[in-house]
Amino acid sequence: MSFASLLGLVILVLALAAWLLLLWSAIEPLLWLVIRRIVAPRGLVRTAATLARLCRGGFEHDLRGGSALAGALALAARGAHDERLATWLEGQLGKPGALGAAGVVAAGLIAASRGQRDAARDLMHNAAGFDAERAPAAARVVANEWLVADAAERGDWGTVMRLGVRRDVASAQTRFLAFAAARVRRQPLIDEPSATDAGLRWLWWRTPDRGRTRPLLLQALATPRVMHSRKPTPKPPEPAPPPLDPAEFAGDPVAYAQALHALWTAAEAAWRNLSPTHLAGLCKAWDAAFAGPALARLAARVQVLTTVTKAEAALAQIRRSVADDLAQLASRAQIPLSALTEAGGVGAEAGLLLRAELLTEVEKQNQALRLRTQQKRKLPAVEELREWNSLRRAYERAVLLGGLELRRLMFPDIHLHVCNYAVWLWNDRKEYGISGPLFRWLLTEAEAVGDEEAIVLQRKNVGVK
Amino acid sequence: MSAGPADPQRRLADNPFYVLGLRPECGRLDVEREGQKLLGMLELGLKSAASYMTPLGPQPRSADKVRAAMAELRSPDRRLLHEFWALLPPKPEPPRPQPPPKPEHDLEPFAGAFAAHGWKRP
Repeated sequence: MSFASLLGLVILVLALAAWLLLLWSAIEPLLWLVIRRIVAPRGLVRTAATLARLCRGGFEHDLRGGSALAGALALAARGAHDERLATWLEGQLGKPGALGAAGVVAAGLIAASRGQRDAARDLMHNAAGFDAERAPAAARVVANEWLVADAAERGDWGTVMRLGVRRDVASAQTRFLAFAAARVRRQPLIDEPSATDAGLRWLWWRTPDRGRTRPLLLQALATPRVMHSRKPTPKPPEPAPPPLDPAEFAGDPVAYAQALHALWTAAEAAWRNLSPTHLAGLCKAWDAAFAGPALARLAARVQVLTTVTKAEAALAQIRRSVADDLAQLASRAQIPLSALTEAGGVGAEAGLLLRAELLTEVEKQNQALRLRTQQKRKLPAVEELREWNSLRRAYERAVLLGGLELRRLMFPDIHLHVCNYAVWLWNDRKEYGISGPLFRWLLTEAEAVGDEEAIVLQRKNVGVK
Repeated sequence: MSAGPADPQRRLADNPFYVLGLRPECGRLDVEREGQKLLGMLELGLKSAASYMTPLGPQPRSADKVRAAMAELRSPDRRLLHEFWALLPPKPEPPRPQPPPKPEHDLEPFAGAFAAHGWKRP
């Protein structure tokens, strides 16, 4: 073979390779469509995960996560949860290297498949916190679809209407749910016109499972289209009679306090209507009971029953139970801590108990994080997110109930240990997707409590002037 | 000595006096007599013994609950606390509150939302 023909052959091979590469980049987006529409719905976890490794363009910064995401979609499509496959997928996610948004969404789907819905919701929200430029669009779409489905199943149609039409992540399915909900509820969508009948049919036609969404389409079509919101003033609901009327016991302070206590703590879901004024009233009723006939009544019964326990000791124990109940009640109804402390007496005791509980929970988790950071004990990236979510929730609950006073008290320690943790994630582990939102969260908190030093540091970490 | 269950709902619903259908001022013999009577009735499957009233409505009664109630009231120290929490008289079940009317134009939760995305489970 002459040199010229050899050169020609090389050029031909190179041209063919370039052409194949060009062809592949053109059809690659179709592969993800094939995985989502054909492979994943059949529950073929390993096949979906393997095929997704070929989607190099779609998951440029998170190829491992993209593969796990495809597998997790298939896992969620199976009739029953398969723990073996879930563990295999987690093993894929746990391989060395930073976790990206697709990996977080995959972890969310795995958690959902296990029935851990709260954890799944947290992870989907975490994925939304990733930098949009680095997070694969396909992963953000799946996260949004899951959040919309979750809201629709809970009947939270307001959220469906808000998330379903988010420009960068809305899919045909979420858009249909949002537009159908808007039509039935006769409410406008943000920055979207109200859909015509033909528009609704078109959106429905593009949904992947038309059989299941058909009843919603029919309900929407049966509702007349309104061009603007015409929300009628709802009639005030008839107040339900309370299961117990404390006024019947107004003559006896102990019975009155017990009736009020039973009404708010023991009656089903009564705490939902509890206001700070109600709580203060309950505390005052107990103070009146403890200052009044409670001790004398116990002392009389101590004599009759010949108990070992003194009346004062029994009363102290009852008082502690009441304070515990009041603390739990305030916590459950999300009444600010100040409502308890300002009530004085047994209310103040309950306030101290609740304050200690809130601080202890945050402190416990914060110290665990500090210790782990110091010892450089790594967890798989998804577990890192779970642990952080748990601490953040405890902190935010304490802030919600304890207000600015507790926020200022907790922040220095939280800032110190969470910042060290985020720096460790950033510098040593290159987990930018996890640590970036942590720095942003710390900056928000620093601004809320007015910690100038922390603000300067976190602005530097976040990269804002 | 403890002040009964930590859950205020259980403290009221499982108060031994309500379980046995007695008032706090009853004697020790009344407790034994009523307990044995209820155990016999439950063994025979009598409907009248199958539930008891509390200030917040009826509760299911079982032989285990009755035995536990009798045991609790045998200890004077524990009885003292149960007496305190049984001050309110039991009442017949109040009529259940009507659920608040739904807004005129509202949607039911969409049970098939996940399935519609191709996910069999949430």
